[in-house]
Amino acid sequence: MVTLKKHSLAFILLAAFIIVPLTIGNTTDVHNVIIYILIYAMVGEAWNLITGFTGQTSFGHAAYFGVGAYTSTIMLEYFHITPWIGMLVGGVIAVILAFMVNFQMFKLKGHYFAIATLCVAEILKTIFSTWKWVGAGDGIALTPITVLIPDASKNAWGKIAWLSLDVRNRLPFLFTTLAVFCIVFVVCVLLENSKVGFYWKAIRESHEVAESIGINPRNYKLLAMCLSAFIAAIGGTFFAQFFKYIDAITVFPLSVSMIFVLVTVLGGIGNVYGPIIGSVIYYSLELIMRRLTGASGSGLDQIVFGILIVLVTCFEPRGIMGLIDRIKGRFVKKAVKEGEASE
Amino acid sequence: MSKPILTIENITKKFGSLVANEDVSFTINEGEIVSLIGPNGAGKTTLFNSIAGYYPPTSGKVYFRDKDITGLPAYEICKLGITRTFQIVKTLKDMTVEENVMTGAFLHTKSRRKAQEAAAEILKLTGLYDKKDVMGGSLTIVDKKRVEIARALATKPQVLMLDECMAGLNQTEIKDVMDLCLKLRDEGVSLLIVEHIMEAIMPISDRIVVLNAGKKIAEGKPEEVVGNEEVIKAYLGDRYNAKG
Repeated sequence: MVTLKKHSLAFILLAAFIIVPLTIGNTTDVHNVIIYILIYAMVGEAWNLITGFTGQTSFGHAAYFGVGAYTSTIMLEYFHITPWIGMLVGGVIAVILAFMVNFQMFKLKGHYFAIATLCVAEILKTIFSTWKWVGAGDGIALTPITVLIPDASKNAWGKIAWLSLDVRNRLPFLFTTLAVFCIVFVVCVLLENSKVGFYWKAIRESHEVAESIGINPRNYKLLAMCLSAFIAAIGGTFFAQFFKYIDAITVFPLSVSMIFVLVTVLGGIGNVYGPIIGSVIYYSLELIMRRLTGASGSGLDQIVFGILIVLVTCFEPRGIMGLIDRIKGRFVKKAVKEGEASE
Repeated sequence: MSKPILTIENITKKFGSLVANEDVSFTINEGEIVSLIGPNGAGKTTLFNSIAGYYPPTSGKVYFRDKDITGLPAYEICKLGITRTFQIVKTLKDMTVEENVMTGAFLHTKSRRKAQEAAAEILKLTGLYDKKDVMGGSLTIVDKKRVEIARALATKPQVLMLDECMAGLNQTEIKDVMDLCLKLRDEGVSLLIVEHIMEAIMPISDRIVVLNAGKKIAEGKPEEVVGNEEVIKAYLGDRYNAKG
């Protein structure tokens, strides 16, 4: 019961994500936006694990996001393997990459670590934009599944369309993404409340304290980074399947890394709800601005979002969730006072 | 006499040409309270850090029972059963008091429930139970020091190292900490205490080690140490020595 009450917001959000696309938002436009919300929130959750909980600022999550996108796309396009397996393989590759790179990089602390993470993504961007086998500068455009496998209708692939994650009809894809996001969310909630979550937070607050109570900071940081990379790679797979085209400039640049950072910071860093709330605001804003101004107002949403970020970092470092907590706190205090008075 | 639980052998620590500790040796026996005193800059905290694994000593050895623990990383030393607190309190400020203590308790369990139970026990022992839902960052300095001790205790140490945990507390609060130290000793925990406040140290210590300018100048029972000429000289200066 207590857990249900504590996470009532999660159920409200889940209900909204199911109802809105079926009713008031039953247009391709809104479906697109919701899918983006879910994908970026998913990677936001991943980023939140390493930066929000463990306190190691990463500005290079696009690296793992891109590895996931490329792996699943290559496996589907070149070897005709379903993206469901592709995303797991992508996740494993991202984990291996995260482990190898960060094993040494975790010797760096603070800003220096952040700069190093940024470099990793940039290096991958350069490699993938010149690597012929993965399409170099042209990238890879996903062939529709019916073309890729001509006898698709007789094939198991055609019968179970979702197995290929092919997006001709957006609603099934939306709900698949929602389901995977829910799994990621639940995993994050469980992690936060476990021993590992406590240890991560201790490391975030102080390395010295962590060591003094028997925590090996590097091992736990690596664990956080690897889990984070895995989830980011899954997010990358969904992005590639949805966007149907990837190249190095779409998945590896700093601007992509920054989306994960900004949606989480806006929503509430170090809070499992942060990424999803931030993502909803970011993309709703984009949708509203686009509807209000048409093409002439492109970039307006960015300006508003920028102002929001400045306001949040200045006045409520814990983001929108911090704001909600503060308001809730006030009501609770009032209720307690009234309760005392009535007694 | 009981066996030594922690043996410090000829510890020397140099920072460049600065010698912070020079050839310091002493032992702590099981269930004993040993205090480390000395004027400011005597090298008490440096010695502490060398023992707890924050930086390896330049030379010398530290033994826990019969095991050589010199230069082991701090978290390994904690897992063996030696836990320290910090002179400058380092409360985990974005976590509640309970969560602070639970983090320590997780050393011996994976289950959240068990950690919570262990934490509750320690919170009651240290008088923090009423404040368990307060954020670490919004505590008073006294409570932060209590949390510091509680978190260390949650790791169930055999040797607890307290670094100036009484500085800045008032008389009643110091009394509380003194009682806590004695209670812990009765439970079989050995304590190494670095402290400035003599009236708190004298009654509870079984033995006192005095450092001055990095060297051990005296060791013994409290009453022996206060009468020691070297100690008086170190604390009060040469001028008052004639009286002693």
